[in-house]
Amino acid sequence: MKVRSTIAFAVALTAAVLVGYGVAGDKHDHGSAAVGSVAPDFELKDQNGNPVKLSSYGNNVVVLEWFNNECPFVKKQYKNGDMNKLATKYKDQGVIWLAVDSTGTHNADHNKQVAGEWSIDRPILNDPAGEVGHLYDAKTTPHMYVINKGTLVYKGAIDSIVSTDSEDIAKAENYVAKALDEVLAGKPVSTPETKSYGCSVKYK
Amino acid sequence: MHFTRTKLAATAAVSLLTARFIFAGAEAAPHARPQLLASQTAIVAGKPFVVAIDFELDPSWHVYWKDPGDSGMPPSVMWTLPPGFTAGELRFPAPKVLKTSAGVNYVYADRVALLATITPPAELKTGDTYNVKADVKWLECDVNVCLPGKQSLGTSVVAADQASPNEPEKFAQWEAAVKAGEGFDPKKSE
Repeated sequence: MKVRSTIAFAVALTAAVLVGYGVAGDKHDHGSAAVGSVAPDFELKDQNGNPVKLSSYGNNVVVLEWFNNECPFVKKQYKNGDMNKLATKYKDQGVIWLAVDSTGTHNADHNKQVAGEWSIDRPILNDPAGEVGHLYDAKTTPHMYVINKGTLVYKGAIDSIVSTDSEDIAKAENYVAKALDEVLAGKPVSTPETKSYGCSVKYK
Repeated sequence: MHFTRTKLAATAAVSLLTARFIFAGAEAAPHARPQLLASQTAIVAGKPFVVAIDFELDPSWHVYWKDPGDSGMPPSVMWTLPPGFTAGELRFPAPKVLKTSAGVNYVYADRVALLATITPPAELKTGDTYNVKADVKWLECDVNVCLPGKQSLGTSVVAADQASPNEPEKFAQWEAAVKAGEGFDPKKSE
């Protein structure tokens, strides 16, 4: 019994490593970040030039938010401070929240200014080459990911109403909040995947 | 003179910087311009007619099909109609397939007319004018940026004993395009 579980673990680990390598080695192969699988590790610099490595957060719950300040679907979530409120609420419960900007034309200085204008106190990671975006198969801004102890447990839309109007947020079901509440309560995520909506990621 | 010009340039530069980070934008969406047209100037009680939302787009900009694909958002309309009038769903012609490294989109460039059938009530007062109002929302994108668009459009028709058509050639073309688009299957397009 013990032997069998050890073998199973070794197989799972090998598979995870292979999957990780396979995709990191070929940036044209999209879609490695599957719900229920290991969230691929990465290291990027934030708007202040500080390196941020996903695996350094260990057992924390981590949210990845694909970000582009020029996109109206992103503006929708920031106009009245909704995204900041959500991130702050879960930060108080130990959740790490990282924005990732895979826009080919944006650099750290750009997002430093955006962070100031939009009162964003979280890291906005710069991915102008789009490597991390492709690793996670990020299609839209926003595109949301929840990672629990290194495993991807939610991938999809921020909420249930496809629009650019901030007024719709209160009426919508927020899938990220729902997933986080479940994860923090030790429950499985009941809606692990939805179709994300937003602008296309403006890869280089 | 020289001073004034420098000051103007400085002001313009600051405005540009500020404009880059504002949240608004729904008010100014100049890259897709929709017009509302009715297929008839005179309508008959109980007899359906068609209205078109005819988008004219700037080069390199696009709006989306009813299924936008991996990103984007289809145009939507909120109708304000006279009592007893009903509007059917928007009908879309076949889109173009746009592939980028962020995925696949179904879009329209240059020009597209979306159609809806309006059914008047069984009784109308001959000679009366009836107004059709369409609050249209859409998303327009080019390769670099997306903007939300919003516009209130209106047109009017007169009740008569006999229908009289408006732009029959255009409407015949648009109907044909919508009909041809009914078989469009995104799965087969990839």
